[in-house]
Amino acid sequence: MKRVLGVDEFGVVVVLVVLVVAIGLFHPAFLDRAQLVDVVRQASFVGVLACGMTYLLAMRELDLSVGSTYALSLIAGSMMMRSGVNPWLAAVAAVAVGGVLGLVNGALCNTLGIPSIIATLGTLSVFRGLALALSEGRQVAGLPRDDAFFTVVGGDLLGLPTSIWVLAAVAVALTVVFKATPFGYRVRAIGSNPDAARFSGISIPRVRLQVLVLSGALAGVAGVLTLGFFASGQPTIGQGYELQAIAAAIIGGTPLRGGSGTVWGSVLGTVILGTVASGLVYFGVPINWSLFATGIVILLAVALDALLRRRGSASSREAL
Amino acid sequence: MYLASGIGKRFGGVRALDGARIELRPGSVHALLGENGAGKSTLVKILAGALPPDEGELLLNGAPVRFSTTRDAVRRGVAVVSQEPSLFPDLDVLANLFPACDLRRGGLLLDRKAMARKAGPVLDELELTRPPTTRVGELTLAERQLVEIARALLEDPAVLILDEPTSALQADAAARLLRILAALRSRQVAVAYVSHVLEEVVRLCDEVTVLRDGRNALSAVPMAELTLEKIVRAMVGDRPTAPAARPAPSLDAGTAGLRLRGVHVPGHLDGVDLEARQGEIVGLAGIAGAGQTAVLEVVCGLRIPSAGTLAYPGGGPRPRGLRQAIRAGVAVVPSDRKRLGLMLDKPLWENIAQVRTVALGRTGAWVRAKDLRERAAAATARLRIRASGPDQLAGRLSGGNQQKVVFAKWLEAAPGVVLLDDPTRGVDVAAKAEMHAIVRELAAEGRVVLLTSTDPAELAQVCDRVLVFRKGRVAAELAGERLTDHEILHLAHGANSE
Repeated sequence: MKRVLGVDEFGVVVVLVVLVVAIGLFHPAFLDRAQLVDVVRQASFVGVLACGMTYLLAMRELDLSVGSTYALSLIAGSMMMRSGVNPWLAAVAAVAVGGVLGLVNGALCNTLGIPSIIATLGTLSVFRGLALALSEGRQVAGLPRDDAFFTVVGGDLLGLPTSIWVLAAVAVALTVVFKATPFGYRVRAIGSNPDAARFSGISIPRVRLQVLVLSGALAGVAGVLTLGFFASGQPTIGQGYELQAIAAAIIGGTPLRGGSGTVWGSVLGTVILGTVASGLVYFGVPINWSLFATGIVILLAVALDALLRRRGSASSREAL
Repeated sequence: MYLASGIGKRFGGVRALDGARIELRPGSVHALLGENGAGKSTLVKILAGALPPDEGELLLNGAPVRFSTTRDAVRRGVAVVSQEPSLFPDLDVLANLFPACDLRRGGLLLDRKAMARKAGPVLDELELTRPPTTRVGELTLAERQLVEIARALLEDPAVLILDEPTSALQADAAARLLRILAALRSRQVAVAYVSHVLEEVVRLCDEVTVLRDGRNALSAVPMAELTLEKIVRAMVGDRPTAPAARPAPSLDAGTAGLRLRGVHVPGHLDGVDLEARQGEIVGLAGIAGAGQTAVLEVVCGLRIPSAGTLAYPGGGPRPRGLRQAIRAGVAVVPSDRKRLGLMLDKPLWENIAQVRTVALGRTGAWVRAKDLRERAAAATARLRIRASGPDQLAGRLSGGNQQKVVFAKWLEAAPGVVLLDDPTRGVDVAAKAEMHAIVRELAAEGRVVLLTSTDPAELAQVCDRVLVFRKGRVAAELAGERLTDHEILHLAHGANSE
């Protein structure tokens, strides 16, 4: 298993399997294929965001605006569809909107010389506010529901929901870019030692801009997937997704100090969060306690992973 | 009176001090001089209580003392103003003057009025004109130094050690220092004055102690009996100064190289002309801040000159920044390799690929780790980097081997101009010699090499030519027979070229 997934993801896989088996022991219905697929499908939107967050964390940046970017691209896309734009075209435009919002984040960071966590803390409200203002705070409904867009994007493909396929495609592509292109190495080099990166001729502002655009465009992709599934636009959707995406990336094994990261780990981290949320329902945890329980499970997951990691590095030290 | 005698100190196998002596008398400003590595800073640390001596004794007003910490030394009346800033920039002057917060009302609240009363006369004496409510971050460097000295004086010290109080190019440094030293003399403080700037020492100090190889070359000699010439000779000693065996530079005089013309950088460079041909190693010497580092910074695009021209061997426009310079073929080997040179948590091959493949993207759209590992293994063998293989983490290597990795990553990028900023700092003798060989090889392959070093002997040994900087200008050029460490040191410290 280590060989297949790489050491980085090993701990997360163990955590996920333990969780699923533990819930399944008490509630075998949880192990139904349909139930498991549904858990992953629900996690897929945050999963796409978490893939982008992996890049940001790996270069010591953060994008707190992804939840709002997600909502604003979704609202933009749904309003275009409502006004008669071809849904496929509107979907492409929604992804572009996400990219442009990322560009705004990057431009703010680079021209004002402020850290991305500050810039996106501002745009978190700005983008959400725009989504609310454009939709006048109401759900954008009345979309052409029988268009192929909704049946394809919101439906199944080869027996699995399309959004899971898209998440998998995004994760594969971003893993390849992360591990095998100069761009991916630049991201990690900056996270490892920004000064040395600069002194090697890497432009930190340029890479920061690229990664923020990537993160924004991915939020647009997540927005399109959501739009396809719900066939309506909710301006308040995705509040707190930015924190879920960050939590997922950290559970997945991307360290906050930067320098490394794992896109697959972040996807698995999102699935772990989704599994916990469903599991709490199975165990009948009162709805008012579910947030508390989710937090506890996040801490346990991170602790278990840290424990496994320490074991791993201890044995590799002995090998030296 | 503060006397240190017979002071010995070892660090591992290295003898830093071997029976050194210095005697500081009230009302007298005593210069403590020596080359890098002569033991100056070790002696300062021992005097200030930051290091215990292995041998010898410290007598304060005739009584033997042994300090456990610098704080302990300050309590007993021995204070240091060092070049490391130790102020809190976000607090105001008054708060900085009383870091222990010991003036209080009712035991709890700070008594700012009492603090101002106590600080007033000292600030007046030092002529710090800014109100004491100014945030220290808003002060100029010179003013901050006054605050540091005022803070030391408020402890009413019997002994004050000024460690490198000026950097070479501060405009009003001389007048300010005269004022400070006058204040100290009138308070009957015993002052030790540690400096690189010999001209200043000659003007300002009353007596001189020179250390060489951990021993006294001069002991408390009155300044009236000395000249700059005599001081330099005491610092360098009579060691053989024959130029090292250098292969005669086989240069084609016509080869266009690196050229700087009339380069000005306000506060750093004042009209520098420099020409370095391909295949030539040009040394840049001078005391800290004399301009040699600024030249490197101009060439690699970190500083943009206010006037003058810069031309690279291949032609092309002047760089707008570091990145453009690197793209134009400039390599930068910084002295602070851990901070600026390496990714300590990454394997050697990633470090070695960082410029060519990652930053410049010269190997195409895909990073082929297998190829890069092989290239890194070849570079490791060629530069004799002692590592278990290309997958070893850079942080696990010794200092000398780490620096060789930095060389390797730049060699991969095939630069036309190589800038070496004190590349062998903190590297052992054997690794140093290997690095010198690498530097010669770099030049032999037709590159322009500029080298600075805090070790004049290194410059004399490795370079074809050495430019000696003083106050932002090229004060002299040394080559051939005249290129010796003695001559470099002599000129760097302000003696005129014959």
